[in-house]
Amino acid sequence: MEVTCIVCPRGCTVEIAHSGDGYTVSGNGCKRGRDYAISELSCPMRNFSLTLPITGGDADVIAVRTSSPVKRERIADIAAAARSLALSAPIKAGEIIMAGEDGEGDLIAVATVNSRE
Amino acid sequence: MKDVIIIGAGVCGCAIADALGEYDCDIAVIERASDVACGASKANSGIVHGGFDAPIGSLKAKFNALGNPMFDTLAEQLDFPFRRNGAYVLAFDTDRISSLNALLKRGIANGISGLKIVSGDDVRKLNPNVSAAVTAALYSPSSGIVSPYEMTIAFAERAYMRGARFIFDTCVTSVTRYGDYMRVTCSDNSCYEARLVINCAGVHADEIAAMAGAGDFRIKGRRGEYYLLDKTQSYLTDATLFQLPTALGKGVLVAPTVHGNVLVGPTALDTDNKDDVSATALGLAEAADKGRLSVPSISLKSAITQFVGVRAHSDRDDFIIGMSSVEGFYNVAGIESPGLTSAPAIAVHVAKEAAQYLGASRKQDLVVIRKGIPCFAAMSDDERAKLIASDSRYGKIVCRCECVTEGEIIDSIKRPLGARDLDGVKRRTRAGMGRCQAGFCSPEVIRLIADTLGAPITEVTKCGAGSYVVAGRI
Amino acid sequence: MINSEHRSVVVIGGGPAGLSAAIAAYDAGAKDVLILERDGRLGGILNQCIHAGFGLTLFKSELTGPEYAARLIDMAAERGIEYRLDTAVTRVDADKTVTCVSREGVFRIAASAVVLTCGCRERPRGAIGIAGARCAGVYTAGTAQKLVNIMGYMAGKECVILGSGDIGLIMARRMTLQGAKVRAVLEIMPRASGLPRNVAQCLDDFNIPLMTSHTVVDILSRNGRVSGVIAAKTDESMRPIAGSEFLLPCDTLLLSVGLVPETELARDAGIGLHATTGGAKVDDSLMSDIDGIFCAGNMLHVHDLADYACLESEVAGRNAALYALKGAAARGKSVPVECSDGIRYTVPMQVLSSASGAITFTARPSTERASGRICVEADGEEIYSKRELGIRPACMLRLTLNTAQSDKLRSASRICVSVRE
Repeated sequence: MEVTCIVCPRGCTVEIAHSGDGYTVSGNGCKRGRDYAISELSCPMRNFSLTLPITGGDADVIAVRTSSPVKRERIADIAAAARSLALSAPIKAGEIIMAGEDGEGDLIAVATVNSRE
Repeated sequence: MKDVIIIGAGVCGCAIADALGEYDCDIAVIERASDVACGASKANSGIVHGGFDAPIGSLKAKFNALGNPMFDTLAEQLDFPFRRNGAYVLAFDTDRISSLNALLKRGIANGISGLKIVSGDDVRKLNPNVSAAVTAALYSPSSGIVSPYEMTIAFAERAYMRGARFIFDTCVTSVTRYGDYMRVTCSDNSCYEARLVINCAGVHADEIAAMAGAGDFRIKGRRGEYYLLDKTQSYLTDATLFQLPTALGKGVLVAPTVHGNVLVGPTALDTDNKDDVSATALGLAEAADKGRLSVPSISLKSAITQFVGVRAHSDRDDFIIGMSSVEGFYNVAGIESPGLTSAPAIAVHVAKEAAQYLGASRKQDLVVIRKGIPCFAAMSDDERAKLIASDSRYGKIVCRCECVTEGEIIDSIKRPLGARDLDGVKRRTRAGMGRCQAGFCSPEVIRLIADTLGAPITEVTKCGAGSYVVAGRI
Repeated sequence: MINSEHRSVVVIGGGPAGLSAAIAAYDAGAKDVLILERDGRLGGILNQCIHAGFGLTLFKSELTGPEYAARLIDMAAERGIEYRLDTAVTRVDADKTVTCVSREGVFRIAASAVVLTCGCRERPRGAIGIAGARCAGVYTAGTAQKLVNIMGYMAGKECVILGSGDIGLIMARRMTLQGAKVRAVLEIMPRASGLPRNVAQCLDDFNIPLMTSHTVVDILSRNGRVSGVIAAKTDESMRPIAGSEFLLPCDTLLLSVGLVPETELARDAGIGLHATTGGAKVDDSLMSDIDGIFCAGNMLHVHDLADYACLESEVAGRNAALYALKGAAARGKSVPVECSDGIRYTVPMQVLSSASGAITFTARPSTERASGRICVEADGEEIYSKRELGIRPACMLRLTLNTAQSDKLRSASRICVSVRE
């Protein structure tokens, strides 16, 4: 399988295949590329960000992100669930907006939204 | 019952409303778009023509000659940008000098002074970017440039101050004579009555006339496509550069705008769809190619936008101005080039005839001065400081390309006949008119429109009905 | 009008480049550095880039734009660096008088050195001359990003994206995650212009087709809003192929067709601009051809990564501080850097013979190569080379020369940067 590594902006094209109990990996520029390719073969994981409406704040929206990667196949479900949340200010940067399932990353606030004065 | 209903708020409709406002009569202007100047009046070359071009004895010749000298006073009273920059008609072959001479003679017959034939070198001495292929030119010192939509807005605002009322967003669906008055019905089921209807409906004037039973002419839509170049290109020419028609067809012009951009166009293509202002790849390429005949160094890398205007070309090949066969229904139709130049003179003429018909007398205390929105970009630092001291909102620049402040944008929305959409703000303040084409300022302008009008952002449009700028909350 | 202020260094623009320049200027001794920012907050365009991917080089972690901005803002705050918001600079004079406008009035600040970090802007529809209706629903990707991420409004529900610049790719994912449908990303070139990782994680992950060698030839409208676009295949010279047109229904067309340095202030000041980058011409201190005016960030040339814009800006900030504190040294001879074989441009574009210290070049490749050696030659002698994998125009190359190598360059009469096998 050919994988475009997303770990850094270089974007190496990594070739990966099962080989006995392990893997043969080529084209990666660093070790993280190897790890990434292996995870792509078994269970692709991703970070992502969203904008959510928020009431009572000094901004009308709050940006949120995953605190650590979640299963790629779950992105759409997590995003849909998050979009139906009713959030109200104040929320501090880093605060958990929606807890992750099965030890996956949480959705956390990217920046602080203070209460409207 | 009104005295007069004017159908169409283009430059003619607004100028006539303004001129009629000098008389004691009750005026309503009906416009299908959400703003004035939404048809050909916003999308044309913005040229105040010298008047040498129109056929001798035509209404075009008459009103062009009368209209041109009115601009200096009007620009001052109405506070719209205008400049006499002079124009050349360029000839590209030696054997075409006879055509220039014919044009000169026609100009003299039309009563235009100051015209002269100059050599190609003379043209290039003052305008070094003009093509080496130019052999001679007719020079017209009285030709000028104007912002056509700002001029229309200015007329409309003074007409409003003089008592005219404007009805937007509705289409006229019938015009009928009932006894000694006219009845006009509209697409929103509203109905207006007046003693006189003046048809200023631009490309649709023939359809309106037909509704009234006075449909003895046809209006053809004639598309013109333009390129607008960045202000950095203003060095290309300071004069308006026309071309003598060549074997390849009617030429296009290269002209500065009053705001310092450069305009290249228009093409001329008859169309059946009078409302279609979509640009086409072919049309734009033609405009650029022909423009380069006059100024070879035109680079499309410096283009900031393109636009299309549809001119109202009548099958009588001249303006149609006067009471129709139906009493009380007055046509001002087929107002294509030099219509913008002629509009002020047409308005005076029509107002006089209309007042006579209505038996209306001149008003005593007449509003003469209309003040535009303060133009922060054109001010000195001291003037800016003073303006900001009067209202701090003039200290927040929203449109960085054209240096337009929050104060000006709010002005443009709050004033009578104010802007209600992005394009309305743009035409009044130039916010979004610059090289980023509203990329940076449109979110902020959208917010200002919503806040000032007290409407949700989801209701804000680009140019009226249906043209919503966003598709809902996230 | 207030005329009495003086600052050793004035930084124009409070985005990542401006903040980095100000911090570096402060650290180099210019304690009265002042940042002028036209927006209502510091951080610049980072504030609307809520996706992660920033800071791997500078902060050794993968941050979102606002988080990255917050780090820089904190660093500026720790130093007590002064800044003014909602303050637009209207003019920079060659004598380094900075005129600005805010709700408080018009101000003139006399600066000993100025750093221009005004960022860049997106090429709009008009710059590429797309035919079709002039209706609502055509946005640059960055404008859509602001509408969605900052204002909280959907730019549209069904999008086509023209151009595969990084912002376009990022917005394809953002619109999808916010519940919109992204029909396709069209790219006139045979390959994506954004980073490969953005193609992978923004398009491939969401099954959004990337249609290379395609463009938009017409925009259709209904009731004043986009109702679809006509797409067409393009040939090698990027012209639409007749007969290949097809309809993509949509209510929104997003454009990601290139960024242009914002050089208005520079140009008005009389600073010379570079034909290829569109930004200012600078020497290796990142000083423009006007003494004491330095340029950095996307206003100097459009970067691939904020980290590199920041690192570059540190050079400008540091040198601005030195200039302000020590005064102008007579500017000696400078040698232009020639680009050949696979290099489109370098920054700096010239090297000062009289200066000292190590030089870092940023080079933009002109073609894609699986691998190559980036070489710097002084008078025909190779003094630096570095092997790179996956060379592509989307990624800039950084060539960090040591002092000895830099000194060789400074004494050379010809400098050349190229890519070799």
